[in-house]
Amino acid sequence: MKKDKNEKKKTDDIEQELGELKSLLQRTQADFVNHRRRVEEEKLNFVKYACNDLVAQILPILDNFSLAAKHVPENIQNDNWVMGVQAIEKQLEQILSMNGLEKVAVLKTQFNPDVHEAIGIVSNKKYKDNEIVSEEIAGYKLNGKLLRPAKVIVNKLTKQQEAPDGVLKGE
Amino acid sequence: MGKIIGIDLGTTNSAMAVMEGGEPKVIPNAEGNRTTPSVVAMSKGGERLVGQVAKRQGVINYENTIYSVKRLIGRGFEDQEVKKDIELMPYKIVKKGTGVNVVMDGKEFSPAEVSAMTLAKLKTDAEAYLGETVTEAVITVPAYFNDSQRQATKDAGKIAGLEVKRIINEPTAAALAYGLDKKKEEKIAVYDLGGGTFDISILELGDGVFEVKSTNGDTHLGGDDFDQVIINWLVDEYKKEQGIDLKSDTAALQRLKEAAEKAKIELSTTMETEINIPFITADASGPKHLVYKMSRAKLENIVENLVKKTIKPVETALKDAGLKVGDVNEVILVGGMTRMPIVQKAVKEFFGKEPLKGVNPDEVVAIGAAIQGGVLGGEVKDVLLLDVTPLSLGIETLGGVSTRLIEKNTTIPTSASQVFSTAADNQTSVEINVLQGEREFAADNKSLGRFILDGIPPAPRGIPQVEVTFDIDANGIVHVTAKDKATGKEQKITITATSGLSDEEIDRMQKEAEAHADEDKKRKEIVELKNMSDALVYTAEKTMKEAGDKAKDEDKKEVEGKVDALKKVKESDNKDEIQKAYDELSTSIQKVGAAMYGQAGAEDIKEEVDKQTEEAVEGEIVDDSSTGSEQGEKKEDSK
Repeated sequence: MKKDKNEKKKTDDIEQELGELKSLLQRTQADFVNHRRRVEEEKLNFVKYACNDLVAQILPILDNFSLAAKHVPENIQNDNWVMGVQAIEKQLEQILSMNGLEKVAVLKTQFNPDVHEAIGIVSNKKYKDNEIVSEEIAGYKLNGKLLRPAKVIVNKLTKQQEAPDGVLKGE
Repeated sequence: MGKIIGIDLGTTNSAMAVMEGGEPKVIPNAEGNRTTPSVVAMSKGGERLVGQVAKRQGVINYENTIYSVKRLIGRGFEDQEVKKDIELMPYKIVKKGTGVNVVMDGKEFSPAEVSAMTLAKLKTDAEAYLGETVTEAVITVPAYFNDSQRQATKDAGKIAGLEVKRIINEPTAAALAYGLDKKKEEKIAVYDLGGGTFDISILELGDGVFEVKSTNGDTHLGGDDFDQVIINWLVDEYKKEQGIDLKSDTAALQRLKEAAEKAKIELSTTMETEINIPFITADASGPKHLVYKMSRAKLENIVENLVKKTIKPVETALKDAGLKVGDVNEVILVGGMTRMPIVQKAVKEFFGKEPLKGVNPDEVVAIGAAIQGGVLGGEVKDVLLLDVTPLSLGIETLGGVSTRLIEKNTTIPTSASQVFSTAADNQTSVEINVLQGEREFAADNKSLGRFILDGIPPAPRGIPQVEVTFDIDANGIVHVTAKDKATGKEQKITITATSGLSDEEIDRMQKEAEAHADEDKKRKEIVELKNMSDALVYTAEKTMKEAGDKAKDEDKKEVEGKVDALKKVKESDNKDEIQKAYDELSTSIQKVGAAMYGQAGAEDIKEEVDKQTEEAVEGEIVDDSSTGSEQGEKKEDSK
């Protein structure tokens, strides 16, 4: 009788261990299958977005080129040297756009937080509510993925008097 | 059964992680970032925005953008903290019973509901990443959270559709991430300097249980303050130098903000950086630039006061815990700001010991929560400890080369197989010499055993296909099988762990391999070149026989000459000469090939020659008959 009990306990123990091991195996197998799927996805994304970091670091150069172009002193606007530098800017833009870089549209556009970042507000009846008034820093997408949102000033027609100075502290 | 994810629901940013294959892994959000801003907003149309997107529109929709809601969760309307926030926050905080609600788009929400929106985004993103439904989570809270705050956090999880398996303290999670729960009795200080808050917690560990002895901190001190003092310094310097106030220029301020953050990060690893913002502004005289060199010393000078502000709470916390500085066994750094050398230095000086780092301070809390989730889900168990092969395993191939089939540090159980061929015409048997070690030549590695597979039907070299399979089981026992694919005949050997190597031997062999790596590589290159030359001579001679009178006599003569030349130099050890003779013969033989097939087929035959030589190098096994004696000599040489 006692022996039977012992035997039964032994069987129960083994069955429990078997169950635990089986669940562990399933879990590990699932982890592996998921991991493999994700590695595949990551590999595809890596190929697609491999240059994102580099291009993102080049963006300030594009910014500065366009600022430089804006500030060309009037007396040398038609200077050949200046035009040469402007051609370099165009060249850089072309190379990047051939590789999938596109500017985020802002003019006459409604503010969209998916691609725009508001850094200031104005209130001007000439514009519609929520319309972008000016672009302070250009935004870019590379092959459809947002690299940097466009930093913009947005028009607000309602409750504008409550606006402090347009910049939210701590943000 | 689904996974239990670990969530660090932060004041400014949140992060999440999960246990996978026994290891914690941070889950990136849908945008691909490893942390998500804890910001929620409601647009005019009632559209809900969470995370980075909500943050981007905060300026124009400030009254409907809720951030730092963690400061309000589970609090009473009369709390000092809440009173302070009512003044500070641009969104509306209203009384609800004894507690508070916030207002978005004219509707009231409890702080738990707002936190739930962040949690719901994390849940959705985790599900997309993991490819399975997520219903359970472990969420962390500051050690000082009271019951009501903990309950409200738990409610937030429930609203988001998550069953909160446990609420754990952030410092405890950090200690778990460092595996401190496996220690016996410890006193641990957790220094957490994040984006907007500073917390110090003193924990006591006993029998695997963490007890919070005391906490302190500053609810309004963090990375943002550091950025701000750098920006202020730059603005002041610029005003002194150029007389222009950049504070009134939104675009300039934006560029300064980015530059300041970049400089702060760079100066954690370098001693000096250049802040370079061309065309930052313009006045009547034309455009103006901002170019400053900033040293780490300068930065530390600017932020010193902020760092000092963290020390007082640390002292108080220690006192409250009834401890002296010397009683603390471990110090853990949490939060992105603890990457700054000056912060690390201040902590180290105060406690008189090196703080634990190594785990990403932005992710350490989420990782700890994931580990806790793994324990609760039964995933973290020491049932299966997977081992690795400490040394590579392979077989000896032509020229005494050791060809690896299983690389060192491969997790076992594992198996690998590769097809080899013969080195001589009509070779009917091959010898498999099983090798262990990292050296390039068989003689320098340890031979674990050898066996012969015979009965291979006579055929030209390179034709027979012998499949060699290595299989290591979970106990480290190696089974090697060689099978002739034509006849299906096979031979095998089993090498038990006991015939392997001791730890000292493994260590010695790894060191030797490193020491001889360059010299071995050079030697191997020569041997490989010789093997390729052998194959090319063989192919050339065969082609000549087949060409008959299709090829011009002068071309044939040229090839014969080049064959002799290559035969002669390939016995030497002069790599350049062999390579030269090899290239010359390769060019000449292509002429003959081209003549045989006509001009159009010239490219094809070149490919074929190349292919044959490649195959020969990759796949020849040292045989026991024709080249065996030569092998034997070589081995003795190096002994």
